[in-house]
Amino acid sequence: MSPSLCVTVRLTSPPLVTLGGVSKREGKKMGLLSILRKLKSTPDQEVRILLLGLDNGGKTTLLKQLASEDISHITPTQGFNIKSVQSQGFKLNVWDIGGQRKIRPYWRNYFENTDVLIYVIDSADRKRFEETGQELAELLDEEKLSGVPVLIFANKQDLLTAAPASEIAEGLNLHTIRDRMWQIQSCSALTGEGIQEGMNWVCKSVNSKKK
Amino acid sequence: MKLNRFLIRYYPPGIILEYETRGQQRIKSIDLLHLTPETNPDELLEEIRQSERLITESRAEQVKQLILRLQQKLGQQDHHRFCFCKELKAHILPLTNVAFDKSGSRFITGSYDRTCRVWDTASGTELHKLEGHKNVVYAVSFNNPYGDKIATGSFDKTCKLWCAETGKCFHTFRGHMAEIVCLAFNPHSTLVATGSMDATAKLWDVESGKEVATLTGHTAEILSVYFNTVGNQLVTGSFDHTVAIWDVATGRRIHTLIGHIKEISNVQFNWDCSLIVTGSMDKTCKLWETVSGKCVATLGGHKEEVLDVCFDLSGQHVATASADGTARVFSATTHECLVTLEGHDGEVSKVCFSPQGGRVLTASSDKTARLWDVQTGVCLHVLEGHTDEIFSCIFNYEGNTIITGSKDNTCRIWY
Repeated sequence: MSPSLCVTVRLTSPPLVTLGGVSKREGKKMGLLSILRKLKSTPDQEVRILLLGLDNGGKTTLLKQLASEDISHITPTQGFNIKSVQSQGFKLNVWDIGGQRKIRPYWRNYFENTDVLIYVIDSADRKRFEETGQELAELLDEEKLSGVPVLIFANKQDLLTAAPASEIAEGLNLHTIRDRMWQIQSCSALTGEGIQEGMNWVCKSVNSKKK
Repeated sequence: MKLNRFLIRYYPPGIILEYETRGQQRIKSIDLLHLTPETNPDELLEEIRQSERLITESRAEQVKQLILRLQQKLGQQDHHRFCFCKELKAHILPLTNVAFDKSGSRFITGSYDRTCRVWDTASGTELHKLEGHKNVVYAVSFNNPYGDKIATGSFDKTCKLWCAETGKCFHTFRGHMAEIVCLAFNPHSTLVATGSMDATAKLWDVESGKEVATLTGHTAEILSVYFNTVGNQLVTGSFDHTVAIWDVATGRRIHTLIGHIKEISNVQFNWDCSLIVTGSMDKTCKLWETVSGKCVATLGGHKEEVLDVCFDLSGQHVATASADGTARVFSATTHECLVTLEGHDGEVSKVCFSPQGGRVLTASSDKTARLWDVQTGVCLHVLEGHTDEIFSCIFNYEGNTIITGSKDNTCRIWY
C-alpha cells in the first residue's frame, strides 16, 4: 500500500488545467433502468467508452475530472461508475470499472457495444508495468473488443518518478498493434493535464469509425 | 360439483375454494378486494352466496368465519417500524434485483458477479450460490406461491431454471440474441416469460425446458413482462414506446397500447386483470383497459421520467417513482393524485406497496430507501446505511420485512 503517501503529497497541488472542451455534465441518471438505457447499442451521437486498468491507476479520478466533480475523496471502486459528458457534439457514456485483481475477471461483463477503450496506467508504479502490460494484451485479444480503438493514458505524470509516455509505449510494445487505432497520451488525472488531448483523440477516432 | 375445502388468502383478501367436478380437482377464488374492517360480514356473505352456488347453507357459517378472520387481519394493518437492520456482504460486485419467496423465509439476490444467491431471511446465511451464468445476473424470481424453483435472467442472453432446495440447475433457456432483463413465472408455474434487449419476449416450458413461443412485434428492447393473475395474458413494455398484451396460449398479440411518447419503464396488471398500468420516460403514467386496449387515464405531475410504477395488491392505488426525486400515489378509480411523497435527495428508481396496501416503499440513488404512509404521504422511516445507491427494494408477504439491494455490493434486511 505504498502509493498512499504519494496521494497525500499530490493532493496539495492545485489543478493546472480546466477541461474547456468537455462540458455540460449530464444530470445524474442512475438506477438499473438507466444502466439498461446505456447498455443498448448507441445511436450515432452517443459513444460508449470503457475505462479499464489496474487498481489505483486513477480511473475514477479521471472519470470525476471529466465530469468536473470533486476528486478529493476517492476510494477503490468495488463495482463500476458511469458518467455521461458532452464533448464535440458527442455524448460520451464513460464506464469506469474497478481494477482490483479479484474483480478483473468481470471486466468482460462490460465489453458489449464498446466504441472506445481507454486504458489507464499508473506511470509511477514501475513494479506493475509487467502486470498492466499483460492485462492490456489480454484485452486486445478479446474478440468482443476487436478493432475497438484504444487510448492509453500514461497517468500520474504529476509525480516526479513517473515514466514518460514514450518509455511506457516501448515497454508495452504498442508499435506492434496493427488491428486498430491506438494512441498513448501522458496525463495527470489529478491536475487535468493531458486529459483534453486524450479525449480529442477519442472523438476523432469515433468520427472516423462511425462515418 | 363438490366443495372440498376453503383456503384463506390475506393479501389481497380472498377465499379460495377447492372443489371437485367430474372427478377433477379444481380451485377458484372469491376475491374480496374491497373488504374493510367496517364491511358488514352478513351482507357480504349474502352477496357471495348469491353469486357462488358452491357455498350452500351448511357452509355459510364457515365462510362468515373466514370473512371475520380476514377483517381481523386487515384491522391489524401495517404498523411495523423496521427498527432493525442486518447488512449482508452479499456479492463482490453490485447487486441488481432481489426477490422473496412467498413465505418470506428465503430471498434471492442477482449480481454483476454473475451469481444469484439464495439467503435465509431470519439468519442472513447463504443457502446456495447459483453459479453458471457467464455475465451479469439481472432478473431473478421465485415461482411463487410454490417457491421450489428459481429463474435467473442474465446479460449472457440465457435464462436458467434452478431447484430452490438444492441449487441445482434444471434447464438453461437459450435462444435470445441479447441480454435478458426481465422475467416472470406464470401463476401456475408451468411457464417462464423472458424479455430481452433483442426486442422479443419468449415463453419457456418449466418442465421440459423447451421454448414454447417467441413474442415478436416490438421494435426495441423489452424492459418488463408481467402475467395477469389468471395466467392467460402477458403484458410487455418496450423502449419502442409501446406496450403489448399477448395471449399466452397462442402467443398472439391481442392489443398494442400506443400513447406514450417515450420509452416504457414498467408495466403491470391489476389483480382483477381489468387494468394495466404503464410508466414512461415521457414523465407520465397511463392506465389502460385490458379488454379494449384503450387508455383510460394519463396520470401526470412528475417533472422527470417515471422510472417505476405499480398497483397495490387490491388494485385501488397506483404508485409511481420518478427521476424528479418524488413518488406519487394515485387513485386507480378517480385517477386523482392522492399524495406526493417528497423527501428523497436523488432520483427514485423503485417503488412498491406493502401487501396490506397502507405503506409505500421507495428506493433512491440518495442511498436510502423510505417508507411512507399512503393516506397521509408522511415519511415514516428512512432506511439508512447503504453506501451507494439502492437498485431494488421489496416487502415480504407479511409486510414486516424489507430487503434492499445496492450498488455497494451488499443487501440489507430490515425488520
